Amino acid sequence: MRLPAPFGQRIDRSQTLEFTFAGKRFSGYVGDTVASAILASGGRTLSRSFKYHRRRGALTFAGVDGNVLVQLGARPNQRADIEPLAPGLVVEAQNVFGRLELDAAELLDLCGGFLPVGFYYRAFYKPRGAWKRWEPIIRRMAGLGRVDTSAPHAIADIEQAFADVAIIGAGPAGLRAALSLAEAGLEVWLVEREPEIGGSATWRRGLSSSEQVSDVAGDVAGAVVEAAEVAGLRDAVAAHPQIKICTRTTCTGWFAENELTLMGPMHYTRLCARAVVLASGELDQPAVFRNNDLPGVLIGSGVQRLLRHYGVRPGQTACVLTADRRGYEVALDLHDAGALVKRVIDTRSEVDATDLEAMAIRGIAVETAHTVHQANRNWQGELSAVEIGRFDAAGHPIGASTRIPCDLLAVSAGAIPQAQLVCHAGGSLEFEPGTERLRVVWNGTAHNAWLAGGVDGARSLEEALGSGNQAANCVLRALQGEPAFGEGAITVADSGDVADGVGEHAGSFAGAAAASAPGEALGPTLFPHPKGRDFVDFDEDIQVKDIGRAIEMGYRDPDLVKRFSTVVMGQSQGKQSALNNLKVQAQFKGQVLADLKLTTQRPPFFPEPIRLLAGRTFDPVRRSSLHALHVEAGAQMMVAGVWMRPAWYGLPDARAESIAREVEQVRNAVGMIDVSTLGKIDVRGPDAVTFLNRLYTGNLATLAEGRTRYIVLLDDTGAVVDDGVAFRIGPNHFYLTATTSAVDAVYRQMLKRKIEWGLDVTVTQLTGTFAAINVAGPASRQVMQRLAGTIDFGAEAFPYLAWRGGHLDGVPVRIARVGFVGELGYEIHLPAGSAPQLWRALLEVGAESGITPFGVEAQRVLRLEKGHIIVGQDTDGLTIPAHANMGWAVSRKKAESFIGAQALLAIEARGLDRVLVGFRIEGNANPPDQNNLVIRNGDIVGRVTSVAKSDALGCIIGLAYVAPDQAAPGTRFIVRRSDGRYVEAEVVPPPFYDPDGLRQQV
Amino acid sequence: MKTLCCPVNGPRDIGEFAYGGVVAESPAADADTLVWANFVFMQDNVMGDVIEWWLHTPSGVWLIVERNTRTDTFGRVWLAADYLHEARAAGSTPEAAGPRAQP
Repeated sequence: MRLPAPFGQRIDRSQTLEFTFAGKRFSGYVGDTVASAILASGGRTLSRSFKYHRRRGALTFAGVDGNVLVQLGARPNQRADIEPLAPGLVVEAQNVFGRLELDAAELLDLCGGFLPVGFYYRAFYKPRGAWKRWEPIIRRMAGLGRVDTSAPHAIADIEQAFADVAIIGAGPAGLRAALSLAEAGLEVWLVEREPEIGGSATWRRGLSSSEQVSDVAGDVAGAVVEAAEVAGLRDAVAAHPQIKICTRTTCTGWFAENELTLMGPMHYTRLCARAVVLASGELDQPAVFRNNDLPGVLIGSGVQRLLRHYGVRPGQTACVLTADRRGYEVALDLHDAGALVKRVIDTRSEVDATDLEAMAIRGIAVETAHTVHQANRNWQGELSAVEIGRFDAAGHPIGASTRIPCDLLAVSAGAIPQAQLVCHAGGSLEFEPGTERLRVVWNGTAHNAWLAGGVDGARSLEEALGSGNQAANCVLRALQGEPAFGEGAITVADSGDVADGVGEHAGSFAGAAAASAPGEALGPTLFPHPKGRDFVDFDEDIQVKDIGRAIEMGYRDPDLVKRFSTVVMGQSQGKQSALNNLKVQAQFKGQVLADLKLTTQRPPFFPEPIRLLAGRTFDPVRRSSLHALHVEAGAQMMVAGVWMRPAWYGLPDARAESIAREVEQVRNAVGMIDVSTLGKIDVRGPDAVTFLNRLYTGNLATLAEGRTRYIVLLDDTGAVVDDGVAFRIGPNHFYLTATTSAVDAVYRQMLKRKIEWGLDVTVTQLTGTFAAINVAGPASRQVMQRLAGTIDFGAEAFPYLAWRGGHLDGVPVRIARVGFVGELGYEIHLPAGSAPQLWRALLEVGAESGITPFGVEAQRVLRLEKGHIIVGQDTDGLTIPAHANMGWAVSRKKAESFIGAQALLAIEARGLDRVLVGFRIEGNANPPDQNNLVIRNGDIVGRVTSVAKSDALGCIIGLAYVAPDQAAPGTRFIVRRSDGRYVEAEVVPPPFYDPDGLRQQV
Repeated sequence: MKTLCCPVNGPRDIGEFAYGGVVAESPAADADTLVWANFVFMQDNVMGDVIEWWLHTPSGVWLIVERNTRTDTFGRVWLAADYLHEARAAGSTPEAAGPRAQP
């Protein structure tokens, strides 16, 4: 039911929202969450449990438990206790067969004895293959939400941001630290999961400014002072221009150099902070007793959140089970909210006198040294009564128990620091000696990051504000004298000179005081029941005996028990089960808690939707300076590495005929192709020859000025990694081409080797500076000669493999008589900006020879007819030059040893295990595909690397690796095609076309 | 965000850098095949301080960087040319010079 104001700070009672849950109509208010609206209407069951399909209801109301997972429209596994209500929302229950109230699979709960831990692993693996049949059935039974694969594509951006200080958690400690740091002039980001700042002060008794309640001892004045102090702090923080407040934002991870990932409803931020204050508070823990998972059993702070945030009282008659003083606060809140508090059941035997007095004044009965042994359920499967009694050292019942009817049980069984983030950054949790409280072990100065508030062990508002102030002081001192972000390296402050009196636990400002405070020892919270259903982990339905069984089976390390039993592996990742899990393990193993370590915490702290992580996709591409002309000419552009290149010129559906036409035109007349994407590198300096001879396999000392030569680059293992052409410009000056995809790596390697070898050369990459056009075909010379220029294209003046510099049509050019396609051809290198002019001029003067632009696809056919290899396609990571018939490109005589030379010697000494050969297959039908295997006697001996239909030759041609004894011309070998059939190929020495090279050398 | 402080460009996102391997002197050209095989294929995978090549890719600046593989933190940074020049001037191999050489 709804309580009147001041309860329900978040809701706007003037605006009603309608929605459906599990097919029924519900209504709530603007400001409600899905679960608060359901609870306000009397609903208690929100989901069904993972394994036994037990009813589950709200537990923490903090968005950290798995009980509240629902399907919201297309979004599965959403936490109903934090998801805001929206008009017309369709909320569906998850993991339900049939209806939420009548789940057919509930029977599983009755046969729970047959489903022990590890059951699936051990029961379904025999006979062989059985798991394949069982898996789909089991997966369906244990299903969570439903992924809607037709959901619309959402675009979310990832923001990269920088700040002086990031503060995680806007509770009193975080607010205090934020204000101090902002007043000191720093830029502060304040990150808060909840919709408003204030943290526990928005729901803890006496700290919320909108009400006037007495404190535990009935002292109204004290509470008013504290509430006013927090309210003043909130207002000051909200108004401060240096503080960026990010509400509804979860910090999901803490990475190197204080990079924090912040997740909002529709955005993701990577925030780099010079310093961090973690003020993430505590997580209240459940107690373990029989049926502790029934709807109606809530964590005490969950009840307080429901009351103050949403004005919802989740029951009429209540009991409170507590192991520390916090339960009394909850009892007072429930009493003020009009609930009948029947009993406070305290597991401790010594209780604070002021607490007892506060209960006595209100007529609330207290049972000390008692516990709830079992919760009872009504016919609906929800809480109807608790059975309480005394207990022994192991938590088992002693003597008679008393049955107390109630519809709400609030549990306060202690809290653990919410320290997952600090664990991501290298911190850890340990048990304080003497108490069963966990504290954080963390070296703040080493990371420029400090803890404050509850996560640091603060127990009161005073302690929280004090630790917030101290953390702020540490940040200020650490950042003093340090340059602003981006102006210098992040330096680590000297440990020891920060925060006087703070010892090894450099983060701890409040914990030391709290540990010594009287009456703060936590009472027992573990009450295993002989009949079971005493859940340690609600997400995975893990009971006390399940953990015992895992230990019996030999799993002793907590991380192994976790993996076998799946305890703490569920949706909440141990946020409610990690502590009780360890307590149970300690009991079974007879160990003390201090000897046990919590299982490893890893990012993310909270599930991150993939749509947020994916961000927006950017595919940057480079365009040559001729791009617009290609598009104008109707080219089909394709992505080739980082470049856009014309695939062919013609309609999209005219691929085959366009390629055939372009090939024919190059072979019979003249064509031209934009090869601007070629890598281009300028190398000059006194040591240029030595430098290149140590890099490349050939001997460039013997290359004459005005000539070009094919060059091959190896890596240290002798494998071919790049090839290209070297132009000798002058005695100490070379111009090199490299393959499009490798040029950046080649350039980097050159820069590195130049330093390593200490050689005097200057290396400049010119890939984007220069464009290149290849004019090829029998008529290419005539076309070139028609352009006005300074270069003599006569066969003798400009022979094959020569290069000439000069002007063409007024444009400065370097032209080489090389060609990939095997016809008379000229490769023109020129400033990229002048390329369109020359391209147009070539089209104009070439028109009478029938010049045609050709694309990458035609070039692939043309080069294959010539048997020219493509590094990376016809070579792989193990190809040495001798494998690919390129031994001629390796100089054994030059003075310098080149990269990979030693490896070549070693590999060649063992004899070649394969060779690249050309092959032909008669006919034009069903060619093999690239990477089809060469098979001999059932063994793989090689593979096809390139294949094409050649119209010029009237057959299928290609290149393939075969065994060395299959390499003789005329040898026939077998290729297994993609369709599984075998086809016979015949070895033909490349080039297939114009074997003597007469056409390109004319 | 992991940053590396380039002597030329200042602290930059690690994504702007490319790893270039551990600093190690190549064996002599006529060294035994086994020596070469060890150099090419066997990596020590040291836990602790290592001296490595790193390239600031947008500016093409090669650096020599001290890095601790256990703590994943960077130590001293040199321009590669300076580092190797000093190592050679001291008559030492680059990898031996590393941890002692001062920037």
